[in-house]
Amino acid sequence: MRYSALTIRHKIQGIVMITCAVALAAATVVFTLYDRSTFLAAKTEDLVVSAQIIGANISAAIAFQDPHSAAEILGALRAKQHVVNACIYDSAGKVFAKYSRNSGQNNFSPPAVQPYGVAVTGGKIMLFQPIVLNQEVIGTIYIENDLEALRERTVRFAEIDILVLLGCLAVAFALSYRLQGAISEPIRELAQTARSVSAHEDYSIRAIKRSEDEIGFLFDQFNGMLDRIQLRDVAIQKAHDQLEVRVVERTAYLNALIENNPLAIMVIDANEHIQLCNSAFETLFQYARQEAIGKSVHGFLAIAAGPKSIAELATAENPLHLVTRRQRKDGTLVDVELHTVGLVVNHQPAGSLVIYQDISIRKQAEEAMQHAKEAAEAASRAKSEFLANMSHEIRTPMNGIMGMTELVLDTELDAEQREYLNMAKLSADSLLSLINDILDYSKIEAGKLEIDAIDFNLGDTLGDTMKTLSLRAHQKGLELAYDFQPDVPDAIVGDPGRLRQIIVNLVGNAIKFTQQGEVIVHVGVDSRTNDDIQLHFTIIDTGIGIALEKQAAIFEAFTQADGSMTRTYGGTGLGLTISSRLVEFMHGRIWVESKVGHGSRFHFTAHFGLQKTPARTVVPRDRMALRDMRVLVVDDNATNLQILLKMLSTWHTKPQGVDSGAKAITVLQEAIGLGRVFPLILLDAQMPEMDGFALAESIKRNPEWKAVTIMMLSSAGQRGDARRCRELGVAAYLTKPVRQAELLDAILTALGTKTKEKAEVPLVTRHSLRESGERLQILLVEDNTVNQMLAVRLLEKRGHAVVVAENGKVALAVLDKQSFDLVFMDVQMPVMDGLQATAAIRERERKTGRHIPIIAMTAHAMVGDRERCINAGMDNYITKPIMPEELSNILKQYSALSTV
Amino acid sequence: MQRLPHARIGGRVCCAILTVVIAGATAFPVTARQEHTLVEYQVEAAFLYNFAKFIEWPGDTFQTEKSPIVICVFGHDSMVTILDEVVRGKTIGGREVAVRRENETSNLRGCQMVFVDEQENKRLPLILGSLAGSSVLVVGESEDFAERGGTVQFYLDDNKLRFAINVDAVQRAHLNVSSRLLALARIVHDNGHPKG
Repeated sequence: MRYSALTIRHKIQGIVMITCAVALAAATVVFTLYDRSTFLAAKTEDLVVSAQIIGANISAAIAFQDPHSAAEILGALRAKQHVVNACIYDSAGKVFAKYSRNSGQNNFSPPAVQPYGVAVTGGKIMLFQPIVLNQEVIGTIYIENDLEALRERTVRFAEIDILVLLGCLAVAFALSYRLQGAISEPIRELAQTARSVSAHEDYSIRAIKRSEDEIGFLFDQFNGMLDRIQLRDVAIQKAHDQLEVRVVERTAYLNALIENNPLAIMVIDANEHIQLCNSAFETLFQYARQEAIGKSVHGFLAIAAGPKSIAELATAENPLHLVTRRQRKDGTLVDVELHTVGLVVNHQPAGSLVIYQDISIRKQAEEAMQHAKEAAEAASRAKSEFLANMSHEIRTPMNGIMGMTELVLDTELDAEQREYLNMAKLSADSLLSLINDILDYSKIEAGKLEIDAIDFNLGDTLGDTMKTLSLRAHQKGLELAYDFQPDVPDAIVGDPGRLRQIIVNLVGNAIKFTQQGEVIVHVGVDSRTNDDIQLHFTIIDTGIGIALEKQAAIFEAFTQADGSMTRTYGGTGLGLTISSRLVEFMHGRIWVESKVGHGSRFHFTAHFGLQKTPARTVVPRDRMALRDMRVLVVDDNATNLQILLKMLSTWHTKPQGVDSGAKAITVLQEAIGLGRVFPLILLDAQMPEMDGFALAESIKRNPEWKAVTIMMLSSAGQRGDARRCRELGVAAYLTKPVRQAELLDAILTALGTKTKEKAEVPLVTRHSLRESGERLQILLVEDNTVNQMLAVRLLEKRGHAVVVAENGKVALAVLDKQSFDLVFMDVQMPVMDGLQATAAIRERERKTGRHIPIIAMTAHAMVGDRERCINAGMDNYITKPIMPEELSNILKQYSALSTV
Repeated sequence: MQRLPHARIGGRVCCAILTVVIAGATAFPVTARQEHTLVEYQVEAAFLYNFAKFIEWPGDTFQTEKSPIVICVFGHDSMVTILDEVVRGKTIGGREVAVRRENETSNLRGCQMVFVDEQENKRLPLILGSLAGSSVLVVGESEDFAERGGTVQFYLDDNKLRFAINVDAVQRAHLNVSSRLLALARIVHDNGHPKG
């Protein structure tokens, strides 16, 4: 029995008994120990005295070496009952005589001599004491006394102690038994009262007080407490009655909340059985409430058994929300949105609360929308693919139109015919750019656009682009300028064609929407690393500007700032869209800052690589090299084949045309048999059966034709074409329609680079042609320094290389060392005038058969001047002051001429 | 009457053996007497010295408090040397112990103890006669020495040196012999009248 469960009577008695027992035990122990120590002290004293007596008596025996006598003296110890052993050592520590009470057994082996004194160990007292004679230690006496007496005494004491203890305890028990009642009885009575109060819940019972001490006080308090409890009890009962009414009301309200909830609600208890559900649940799953409640949730609404089927069993920490399907009673499935959360009641998990929402209607709508979206995307994709594929179909006739127009323009025409044809050519150009825009856009949309990474010169590319745009700007009387930050490098890697396209678009727009003022292009560096640079282009105009709310929309397809713009200014509205997509392809971004009436600033950034070795190939431009060259042209389109053959003929080559790859192979094989070679082959990329790439591959694979220069013309630029050409060793890749001048440049560049540098043949493309193509080597013969500077600036601005000679004589000397495409010749000069110089040049040319165009520059356009110049052998003339437009026209004419 | 065994004690002493350290009067087992005469002398010397510890002389024996106890050796050179070695630096009851060689009986009265060599046995009556009435302890080693009137006689018992005391002689000399010494000794009386 635990102490706390004992009655107070027992506790009091227990305390008294334990206290007595402990006190008595302590006393007896102390007395016993004290007796023991005094007994030991007396015994020791006794032994010391014995030892002294024996020591004195035995000294003579030691002195006279008489162990026998010594043993006899020791024998006197027999009187001492508890001396067990004794021994005499001589001064050297050797045993001299010994005594043992149990002498018969003689099993006493004396210990070694120890320091003098008494030691109580191992149940015996051991005494070592010196034996002195004549103040001289002559030996040691050892006496060993057993403690049998002590033990007996201790036992006897213990017996007495126990008897005393028991007696005392008996007395204590008797006394405490009688006296405890004084304390325990009232408490017991109080407990009895409390028990009957709680047993009968009768708070009118009172305890009767019998004393005025603390227990009496306890009685008073107890009775007072009962008074208060009695009062409170009445109040609580009243409150409880009210509360019950409220609880019923609230429960009904909460039940109504669940029951009337439009969402299906299910409560799962801790044993994973359905505990509760509402009428929406019944409606949704077609189960009557009685059917559901009490069922295990496992497999109840599940489609299939498995862990997913009990998603409903969430914990409070991990509520779940998912869209899934559940099975109705009739087996049909219903799409539901399921919310489930663990229920926690009084900090204990108590199952889960699950809410289902029927989402079948929403699901159907989503599916319908998804289908519609997919259909729309498929349609859009089909459209884009169609447009991309249209490229070939559209470009082929365009090539015919433009090529034929150019060929006709080269023939004898009257002024009216030439004007009409020029208009036709302009229209074709416009149509081509329009088609290009649309095709680009559809290519982007179809995901077929590819950004090239080729080496090009940024300055040249931008210069050329601006040159073509300057005509339109100047026609509107606008200033067009561009400038580079000093840190902008020229030799970069990227797609110059696409860059040009963006610039043309943005600058073209700027020109289009600017009536007066200027259009300026800034190029700066945003950031650069070892092999990468981000350039920042800004196109600033002083045009009509764009309203803020429309600025975002202008980069979207088919949008101009205003619907009316299309009517006023024309254009597809695709330019900015294409530009913004191209910029994205170049890992840059495009944006605009503008204010209506204050012009616009279009910004775009683009990433380019940096060329490792910014070296440019110098291209020989000697057209004479083409004379009598055999050229094989392969094109399945008869018109295009005809145009190419015609163009090649005008350059005095010997072209031969075939309309398929198979025929081309045959012709090439025959040519080998006849000992002929075709140094140049022009291929159409798109041909039935064997296309240009397959043909190029089979030609290059034959070692006899390895040295052949192949040029590829394509009417539908495909992703990776340029790369394939490089891999196949094709020297040039041009997109149709190809202009006459462009083709010539391409041929000369391809052949030139070929002959010059066999190891590394850069692919000749439209872009590399732009860079090298229209740059003319011009000799300016002019004595007036102001005029020199003006003419040089004008010519260099147009990208030409100019060498200045101050008179005819110097000009002749320069011409001896260097060849030029064009000569501008002042007529009036000191030393040797223009007419003399021209005559001298023509005289020299009579030996070589060459003809360099010479343009006269005269201060006064007088009648007869032109005749005099022509007679002197000049080809044309312009009047001073030189008008930029006039100069451009002349240059364009002779630039074309030089390539015709 | 019990006959004491004859004690034959060799007289030859080799002086060189004096270097042997003699540590007090104990710890020399007295065995093989004939071979180790030096050891026998040493034990006898130690006994002589020890006798002095258990004997009280009458107060008038000494002239002063500090007068030494004089042990005279009659007729034995070696014993003088050995005994001198034993007692050197020792005191008994605050008195030093002196050793003296004597050949003349007339000089013996100044001694407290006289050791009579076996060879001088024939002169014993003369010696005893000269000492009559004086408090001198006379120690000898010849047979019947004690019975003939000597105070203490050495003898061998089972190869161990023991001694007999003539209590009559003790009484005659007014010597006070410790009971502890008497307890170790064989008690004899004059001329074949042993008692106790």
